[in-house]
Amino acid sequence: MKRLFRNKSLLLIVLVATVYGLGSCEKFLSERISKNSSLPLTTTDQLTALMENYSVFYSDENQSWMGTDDYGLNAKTYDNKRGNFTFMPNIFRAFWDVDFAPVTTSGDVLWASSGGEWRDIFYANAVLNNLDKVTGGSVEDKARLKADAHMLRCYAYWQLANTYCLPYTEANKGEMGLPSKKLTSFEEDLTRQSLEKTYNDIEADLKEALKIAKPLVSGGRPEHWRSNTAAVNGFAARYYLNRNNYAEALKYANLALNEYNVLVDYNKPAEMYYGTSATYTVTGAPSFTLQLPYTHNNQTNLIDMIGWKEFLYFRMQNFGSWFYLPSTELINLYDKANDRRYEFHIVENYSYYFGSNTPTNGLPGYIFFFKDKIPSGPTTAEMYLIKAECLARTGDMAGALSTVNTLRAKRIKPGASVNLTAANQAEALTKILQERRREMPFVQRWYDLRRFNNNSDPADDVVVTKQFYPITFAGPDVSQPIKTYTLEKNSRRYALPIHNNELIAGRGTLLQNKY
Amino acid sequence: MAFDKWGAQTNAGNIVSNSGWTWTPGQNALNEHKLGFITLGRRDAMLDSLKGLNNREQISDLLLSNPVSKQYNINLFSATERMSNAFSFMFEENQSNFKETYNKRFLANYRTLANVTKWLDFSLNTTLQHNANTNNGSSLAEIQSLAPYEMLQNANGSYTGTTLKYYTPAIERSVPRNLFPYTDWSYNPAREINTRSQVSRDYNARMQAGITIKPIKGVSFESSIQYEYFLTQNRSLYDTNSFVVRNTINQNAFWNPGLPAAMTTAPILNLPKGQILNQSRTQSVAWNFRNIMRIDRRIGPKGDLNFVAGTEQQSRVAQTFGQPTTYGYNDATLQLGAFPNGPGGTPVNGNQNGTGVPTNLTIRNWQNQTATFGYTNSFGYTTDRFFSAFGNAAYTHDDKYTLSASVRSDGANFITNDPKYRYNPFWSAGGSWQIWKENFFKVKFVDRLTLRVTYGYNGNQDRSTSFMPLLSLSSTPNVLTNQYTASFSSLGNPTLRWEKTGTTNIGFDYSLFKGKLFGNINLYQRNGKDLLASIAIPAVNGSTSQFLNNAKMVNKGIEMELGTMMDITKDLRWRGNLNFSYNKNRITDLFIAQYNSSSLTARNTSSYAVDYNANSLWMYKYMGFNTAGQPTVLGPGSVNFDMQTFIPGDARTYLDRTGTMVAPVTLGFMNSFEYKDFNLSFIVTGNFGHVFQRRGFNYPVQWSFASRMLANKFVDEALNAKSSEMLTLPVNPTEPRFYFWDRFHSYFSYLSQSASWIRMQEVNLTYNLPKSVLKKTGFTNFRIYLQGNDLFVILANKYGEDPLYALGTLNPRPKTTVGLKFDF
Repeated sequence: MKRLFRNKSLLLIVLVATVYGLGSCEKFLSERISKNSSLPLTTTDQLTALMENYSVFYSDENQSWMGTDDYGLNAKTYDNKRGNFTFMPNIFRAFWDVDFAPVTTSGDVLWASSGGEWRDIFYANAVLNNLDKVTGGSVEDKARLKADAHMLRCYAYWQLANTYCLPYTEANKGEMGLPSKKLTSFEEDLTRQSLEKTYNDIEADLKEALKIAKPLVSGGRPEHWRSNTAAVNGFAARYYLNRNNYAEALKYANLALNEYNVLVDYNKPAEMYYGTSATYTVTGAPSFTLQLPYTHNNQTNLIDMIGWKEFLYFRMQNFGSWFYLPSTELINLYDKANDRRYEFHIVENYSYYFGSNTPTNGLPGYIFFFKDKIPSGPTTAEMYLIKAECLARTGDMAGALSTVNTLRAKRIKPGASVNLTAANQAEALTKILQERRREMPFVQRWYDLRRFNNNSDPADDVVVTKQFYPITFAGPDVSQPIKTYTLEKNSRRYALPIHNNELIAGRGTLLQNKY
Repeated sequence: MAFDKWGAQTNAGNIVSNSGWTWTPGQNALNEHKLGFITLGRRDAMLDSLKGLNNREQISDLLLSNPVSKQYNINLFSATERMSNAFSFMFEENQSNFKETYNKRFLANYRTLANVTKWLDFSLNTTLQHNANTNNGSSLAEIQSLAPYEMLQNANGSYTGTTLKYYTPAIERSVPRNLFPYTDWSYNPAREINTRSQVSRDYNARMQAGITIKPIKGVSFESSIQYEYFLTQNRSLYDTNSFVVRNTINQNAFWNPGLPAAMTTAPILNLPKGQILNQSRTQSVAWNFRNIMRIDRRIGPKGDLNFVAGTEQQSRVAQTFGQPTTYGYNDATLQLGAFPNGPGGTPVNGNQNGTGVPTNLTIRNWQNQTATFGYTNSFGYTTDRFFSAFGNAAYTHDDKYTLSASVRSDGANFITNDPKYRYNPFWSAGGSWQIWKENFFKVKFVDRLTLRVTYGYNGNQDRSTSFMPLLSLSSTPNVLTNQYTASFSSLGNPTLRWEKTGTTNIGFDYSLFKGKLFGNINLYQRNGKDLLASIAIPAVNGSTSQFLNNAKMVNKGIEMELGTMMDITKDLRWRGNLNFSYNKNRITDLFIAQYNSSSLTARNTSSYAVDYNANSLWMYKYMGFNTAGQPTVLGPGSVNFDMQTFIPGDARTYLDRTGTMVAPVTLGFMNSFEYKDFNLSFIVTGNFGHVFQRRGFNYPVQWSFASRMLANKFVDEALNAKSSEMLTLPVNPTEPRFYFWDRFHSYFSYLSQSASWIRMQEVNLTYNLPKSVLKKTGFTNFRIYLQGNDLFVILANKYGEDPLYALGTLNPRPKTTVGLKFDF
């Protein structure tokens, strides 16, 4: 050894270098990659930041509304300008197709996209799976996170169940529900559970969500982009209404309204007004200016959406093709002279925007936020309508009418037409349901059709019929004669088909609905 | 004439809706007439005046430059028996193809090597570098967006206003420009390049020190450490006469175009007038510590042992610093402006009032829309750490038989809950046999022949994924909720493993006819497994695809090298080298739920398909026009689809796979001839057997924003084509989805062409001053040379398009250089 190392200090250097190199590398390699990205979940603040990320959750591209009688796509409007309707899922969903919708290239955004409901469920599960492991935060913080995540998961499951599964009835209990996803891992069983199990899960989540203590308004500002007592009560009211449990629905609607009952007054120019207009050239006529509500102004800036003061829980129905075409039946429900909702939300000749710029082929559009979004989360307006409907169905006609008229006072020009009157309970109910349709077209109608046809009252049942061309893989076959499409009361098409990509990716674990 | 046809977007010339529709002057004239703002006579006069114009010369004079590089080198070297010192300094200036875009580079290097004692060497290497990259010039994209008749200068030399930034008639008609902070709204690229200073400066330093200890013969230890500091500073200063300043200040002034009195209402400034300054910097500090032991000993009478083992540690910390934009800046006095009405943001209670007047916290721009101004810094901080340990042993017996083995373990700071996972051992083993040394091998013309065989595994890891979900934090609170947010950057991959590639290699090295022919032959097969690929997973998991270790790929190939060195005559010597390689690639395993046409035609990793070459070019099959006058594309089940929607179904069944985009065969041929003091050399390269998509007609669409209807040079091809063979212009007067054609028209299989090429890469003629003359001058070396690069290329496609440089991109012009080089 002495021969090998003539100098002891050199020996030391070599040894230290080698030992340092080998011994400390565990610590050396545990340095995190970045300070602000690629972070493992370790703190309560991180979980809170996840739940604060409303931009992931607020927009839902649910296509089920296209199948309702609110949607005005039919052979006549299609022929008006076919270029307006080239989004294939749009056509497939409008006529309850189950053959081509699952193979369309556009996929299914609600089920399978980075903004889809399963992604929301992933966020909720990430919070719930890590809540006991993370450091920091008070007991209250963690309790709020827990209720918040349960609400997020509950809302997502409810929306998925009401889109891809049959209505939940005694007879349908054994039908296919949804996979039960409780972990962020990819290894979980994806078999579709029974509808009963899925609804038990939803109710269990709702029960946890109802434990929330955080009120809607904090420091004078409604914080509706996260869960709060009014949001959960409001959603519970919607849930029980859809289960045709009017007593429970009424109870939760009252709880929500007791906490927060602010409505936007469409009669006040400071609250509802026209924003930036748009001018279009019209073939053979003077140019035409579309008057659009101020809510149309901002496409990407959510300032007006967040500022919409009727929200209890901030959610939007999104439609990427930008054209909510109201059916004639829906248009005719409005009192065109007095209903401010017609004035602001139904934009006549909206199709000029798409280049349908001859005066004969102008089609109206329903415009709420920009061209693509309509509020779909629980709102005060929805609470008034649930309350009125439940009162009407349970025999309190006067209470029902006064409740719905509270809402109408903020929507109809002052005068004799504000107050609805009815000779009997059935008439009151009919008028309240019409009001509901006027107030929340495109967002609640699909769920309403499902419950109307499955409650004990046959008077509200709806069979939807539409006139259109036969549909093929490549779209409408306009060379064939127009035919009638019918959605029967208990059609199995009330459960939308799941996209084939999902079934293939599931490699046999996920099954398609039966038709 | 395509104006206003085929589902074109119509332009109402409205200041709010259409101000950003940057159409060409020709489109503008047609549209203004249609809207009734100008007469037919005026329109035709405007079009006529444009007809005779051509801006080619002005573009060349005002925006383009000859690319020139200049380089100066100084090298100093001194050496004694125990120590050597070398110093070099380099200065380089590069002018780009664009005026006002150039860089300057300075590089200084000092190296010293000292034999401190017989058994200890010391080395030091220091490099300092400074680059100044000035990027004020225009760009190819901007020049291409000019209409060919759109002049940059008027006859009197003043700058024109182009239509590159606005629908200018609407601005002229509806904006009281004299009331705005800056009355000039025009944009001219030739003027703009002189009004800005966009410079990025690099300051780099690197230091390396090492010692080598040789305690006994055949054993050595090497230890070295390297430290690096890189700093880049970016600074963009825009003058008050730049479009950037005029436009930013004007557009962010509050004005309400909807008011009846708009034309006489002065806007309210939201940003101060003055220069605009943007600054940012990035900094990276890295070190690297390496220790190696080498043993090179004779074992027994016939054995040789060669052993190397070592460790290496690396760390790099990269930081970024972004500064908010400075408005109202004055570079002469260093004064700057404040936001007169604050930076904008959210009013606490949502709505604005109905009069269009901004409430206290919301500010609005010239279109009466909300505006916000960033006022915060931004930061980034990332750390990369690596650790490797490696060992390599080779034993040679009798100078003929060699067995070798190596192992290696690499670790990095992956995020994992099991530290063991950070390391993965890889290994290889091999042997070689020097056949020519065998007694039984007596072939006269063979000087040398060696057989080599190796087999081994190596691996790779993707640091962006992890076993567990990872998130990213927002750097500033959400502007609307005032809360920080987080999102998942990775959903986690619980089955994450290292990517592994097993390589088998068999080769021969040979030398024949006394060195007149030498080279090698290699056969290889690389089996990649557990390769990370984006795999379709059920969306129930929270994502429709995830990087999973699921793909397998095989590469097989042969590489050959053939060399020669011979004296043709006494004074003429020839050196030649021919390289040939062939590679075959196939994806053998991959799970994709649905092969969509959009992903297969994407020409990246999402076009991977099992059983096919990874670089396959998938293209649509054009099927001609149908009876409804719609062009069609082949779809699934032999059904023709019109081009109004995407095509559903398994795209493998109906797309044309025209070939692979990466050349399976490559060839390199280098030759040099020495004749007395002259040397002539040339390099020819070639790629064969692959395909590319040539440029076709661009089918310009009249659409809203930057839809300048500029047809490319293939317009005649599209006009004259048989509509059964090639997509022509629409045949229907109304074609509502003409804009959708761009999803198909550059993906048709008729555009696929052979991409093979042969290129004269370099020719060089050098004259060396003869030694006898040198002696008198004091130079040790003096040469003068003439060199040509990228002189010509032979293409297999008849369209004259170079697959390496698509039409419409900058391709290298033939370049000749004259050089002088001398050493003291």
